[in-house]
Amino acid sequence: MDDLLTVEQLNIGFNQTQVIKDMSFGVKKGQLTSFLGPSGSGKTTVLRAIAGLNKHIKGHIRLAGHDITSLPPNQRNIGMIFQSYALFPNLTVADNVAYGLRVQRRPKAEIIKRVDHMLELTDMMTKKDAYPDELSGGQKQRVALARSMVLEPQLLLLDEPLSALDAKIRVELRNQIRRFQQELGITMIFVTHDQAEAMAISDDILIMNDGKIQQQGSATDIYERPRNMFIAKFIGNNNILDGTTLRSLGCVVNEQRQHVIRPELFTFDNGQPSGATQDNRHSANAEVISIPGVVESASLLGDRLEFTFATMSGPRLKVKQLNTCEHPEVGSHVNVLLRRDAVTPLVEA
Amino acid sequence: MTTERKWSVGILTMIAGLLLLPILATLVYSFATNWVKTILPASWTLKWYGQLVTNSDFMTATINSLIVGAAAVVVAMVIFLPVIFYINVFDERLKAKVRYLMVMPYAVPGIVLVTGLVQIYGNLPIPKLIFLILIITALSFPAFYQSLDNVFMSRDFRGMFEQARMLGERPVSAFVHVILPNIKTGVFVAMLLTFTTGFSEYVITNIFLNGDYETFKIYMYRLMKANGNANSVLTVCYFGLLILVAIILMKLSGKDVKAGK
Ligand SMILES: Nc1ncnc2c1ncn2[C@@H]1O[C@H](COP(=O)(O)OP(=O)(O)OP(=O)(O)O)[C@@H](O)[C@H]1O
Ligand SMILES: [Mg+2]
Repeated sequence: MDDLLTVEQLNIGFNQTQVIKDMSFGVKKGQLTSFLGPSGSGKTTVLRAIAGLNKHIKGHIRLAGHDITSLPPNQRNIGMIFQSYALFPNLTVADNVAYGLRVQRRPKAEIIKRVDHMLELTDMMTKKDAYPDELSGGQKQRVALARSMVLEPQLLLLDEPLSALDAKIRVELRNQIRRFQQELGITMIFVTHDQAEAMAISDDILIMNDGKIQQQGSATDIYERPRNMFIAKFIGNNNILDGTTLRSLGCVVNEQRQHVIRPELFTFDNGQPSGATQDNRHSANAEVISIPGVVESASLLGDRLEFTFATMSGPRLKVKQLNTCEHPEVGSHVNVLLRRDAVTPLVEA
Repeated sequence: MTTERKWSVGILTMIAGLLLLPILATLVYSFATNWVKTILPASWTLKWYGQLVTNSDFMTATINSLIVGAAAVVVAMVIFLPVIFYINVFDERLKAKVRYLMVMPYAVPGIVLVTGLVQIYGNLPIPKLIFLILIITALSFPAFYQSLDNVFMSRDFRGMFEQARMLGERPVSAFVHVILPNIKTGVFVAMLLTFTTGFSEYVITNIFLNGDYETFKIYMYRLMKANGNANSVLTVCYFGLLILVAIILMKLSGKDVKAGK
């Protein structure tokens, strides 16, 4: 698939402070790409540059092969949803949705047809004549979506569209956004600082920190193969161990590198020969090491349990297990089993 | 009611009475044929009102004042409104600086200002009336600014403006279509305040234009020396106008802000 949007060597500064540092990336057509990163990492800044709302940038932005770097926002055919929804309070829901079509001076019949279609799709038909101040947060969000989608933009940007909503509606709406995106084939950039949200709905995730891209890839890529220390710490709740420590645990790895072990990849040794131990005979990668230690603490996270496991040789490990099987008591001496291929080295320092 | 409260209300009533008394007296005087030795006028008449309305000086002065007031409103709308929108919505730092600018008209006494202005602009070949209007508009800036400040904080106007741009609008249309309709009460209050500043200006007009351009206030002072009754009629008219403006302002103030909640 081709890149619809390409950003090349984007540099943005505010009052001499460099905020975006030489960023280059592509966004694939028809996909939902998430910008994920901690607060202040530059997500909004990049989004506004793509939208054309920040003129003071260096670099190149191309949309469908055209250089749009110097085009004003109203000529880019890009839609944007603001965190505050930015509905026009003096207009009804239907007039809000019709706004862009009226600017384009479309025939009346066409406007009515397209607006109604959008209101049906977003389930806002019953609130057609209501004013924005009479709507709930989730409803406002859907109107904002309808208002942007009705113009069928080549690219739709969403800046933390769900951050003002409560947890349950967030999940509902994010699935709805994903559904619209797939049904209408819209290319979307979705900004969030919630990794679960990004993982759940994205085709592609672009993780930013400190104005730089740390890693771009699918949810699986990023989750299973974090490139560097930042990603390893930012995603999941990983064990990060250096080569020397791992050797002391009996795991032979490159001593120069840092390694990541996801906490759910440990199993407690319950004395029975596990599948993993049998694999041992077939492949070197499936080799299992057994690490002795003490269960220091256990905390319940609903469907999961998280343990702190103090190994005999020193380092503490985070171990996560589904809250179904039998698990060891706090204070008991047990072994944890670790498959050799669960140890992922970081590519970058 | 507590004793403290009784005291406060009593004192406030007394002050209000003291302030109202001259106005009442003026009102009575404007309807009196002759009011010298008696407690209340000997007889009542509307002749002073009639005389004034048919007086061409009065009409000229009123029209002159209306022109200054209206022109100040137009200039303020064209220059101040976009600036206030810009600093409120896009440039917080500039906004902080503008706050200083706002105190200026209060900090510099009118006379000093006028003397300076006459020295600098007095001899330029540009009509002084134009300067006068610009100066008066400038003086109304604090009032204009204050009436819009709260309104701009009540909603995400920046988001709305940028959203309109993303929906295909050019900047000026975006401002007219999505900003103006949502600040219209604030804008109206600002216009009204600017108008009254312009309409009732005295010091600068008098000195800067040497009395060549007689406005309502200047006429009022001239009349004060000539005819007491006629002057009270003028004062009553003037107060009537101010009270009307005040009532409208009280009804309107905070309307946009409330709507934003
Ligand atoms: N108008 C501005 N003037 C000065 N600095 C700015 C401006 N806008 C953003 N910044 C700075 O740029 C950096 C990135 O900001 P940005 O808003 O892009 O972060 P973000 O990733 O969107 O964060 P959040 O998750 O909190 O929204 C921050 O350090 C911020 O202080
Ligand atoms: Mg942001």
